[in-house]
Amino acid sequence: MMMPTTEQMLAAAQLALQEHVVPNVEDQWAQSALRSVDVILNHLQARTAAEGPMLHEDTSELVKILTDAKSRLGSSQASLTDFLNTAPGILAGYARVDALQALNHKGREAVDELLLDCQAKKGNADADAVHAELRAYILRHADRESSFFFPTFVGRPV
Amino acid sequence: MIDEKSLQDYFASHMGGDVSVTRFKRTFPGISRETFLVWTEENGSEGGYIFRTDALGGPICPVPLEYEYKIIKGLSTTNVPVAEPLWFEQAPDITDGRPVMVRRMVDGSNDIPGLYDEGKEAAARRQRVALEHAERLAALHTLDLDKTGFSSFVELPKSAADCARADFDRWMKIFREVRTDPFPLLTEASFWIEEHLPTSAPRISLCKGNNGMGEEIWKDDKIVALSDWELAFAGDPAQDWALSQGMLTLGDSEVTLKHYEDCAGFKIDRESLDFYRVWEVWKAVPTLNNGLRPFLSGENPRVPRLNLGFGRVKLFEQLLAMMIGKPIDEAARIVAEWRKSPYRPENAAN
Repeated sequence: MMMPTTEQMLAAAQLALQEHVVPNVEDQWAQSALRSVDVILNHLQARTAAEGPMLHEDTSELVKILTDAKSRLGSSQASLTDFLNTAPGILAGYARVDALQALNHKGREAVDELLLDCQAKKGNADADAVHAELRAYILRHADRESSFFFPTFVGRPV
Repeated sequence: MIDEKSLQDYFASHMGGDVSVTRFKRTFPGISRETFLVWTEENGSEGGYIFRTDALGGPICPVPLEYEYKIIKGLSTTNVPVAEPLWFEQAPDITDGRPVMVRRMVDGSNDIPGLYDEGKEAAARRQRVALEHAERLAALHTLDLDKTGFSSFVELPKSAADCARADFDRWMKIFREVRTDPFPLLTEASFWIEEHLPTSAPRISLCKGNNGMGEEIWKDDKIVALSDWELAFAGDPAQDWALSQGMLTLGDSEVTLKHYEDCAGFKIDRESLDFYRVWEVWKAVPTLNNGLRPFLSGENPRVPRLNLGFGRVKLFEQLLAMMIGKPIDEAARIVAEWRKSPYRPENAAN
């Protein structure tokens, strides 16, 4: 393969800093900046290749869950309708990651509103069933993006 | 740009022409706000000041600097040690309109060299340091909020029993105002947390918020000033112990808490302490996420904002995902494992 991957290039930049810059820096703020940059480079290496497919899978699941929720609750929530109208077009083709990010954000905003709605209707069978689906989804979402943040951001905060 | 010349002009305008700034240094760490130590010469003697302002685009904690100043001002007449507050300005030229507060410098450091050394003597020293901190927290938590004037500007719970509910409601509102992401997991976690809100507290105390290692000024293993009051609030004193940043693992936690209880004259409910350990993880998300807003707007595009306002926030979200729905004591044990002090050498590395 002639083309280095993005991960390889990020790792090379990180190695250069670790080998040639970190050992020669004594100022506390500079050391802190280098620690922060190192963490961000770790994060990007974990995220770059995986983010697109992750968002596609996650958002496709959201379409199914939110379609079902809309039907069961008879919700006319604007954010939900907007998401369900927009999602199929973006998910059908080759989507840019930033478009998937925006779409996923929109879907999770609808999830958030539905969670509040379900909580307010606690005890209603349909609301409780939708709530259980949404709860299971948000835990799966956290699991899907876990490797972007854990253990990357564990440790000294600054 | 804060430099020696601008500080010289600023201090001279406040203190008269006889003051000259001889040197200054920005303190480390300090991402939410910028703090500078400023040394002066005044009529042949040396003066020292702490100049604190909001970071570009605003602080990380969604609390105005003036609130912190008023807390310190109120404490300066009590037996709680703080750096003497001198003045507050809402929008001076030196910071291009960012608020500034100035305090007199205290002789001490936020670091205690050798605290984590090996051996029995070092362990005994750590316990003494934890007891010293407990005494200072007890002094804070037993202040009369009416007599000291705090009840005139600090939001008070309706009753001691309402402490957890009041803090929950306040932060739920802040969360809705500052979040940069939908965070449905935070919403779901709030339902779980709300079911476990403590319904009693020994009293309504002025609490410091962030406290413990890295937050206070020490000299000869004694606290000479409790510093950093931006998250101060009125509530259950148990909540401060949940945010005591390594103090309860410095020595024997039960010995430390017993000493505190003897000084304060009331007990800390261990179940409430567990609850607040979990609640503080939830609160950390809106607190830190607020710091990402100036990053996203371009006002402060610096890496610490990214790490704290995004990376750290997502990490805490992951932590909540691991705890949600579990019994609170079990969740608190997970937090305790995560909250090991980053100042301990074994935890300091990335």
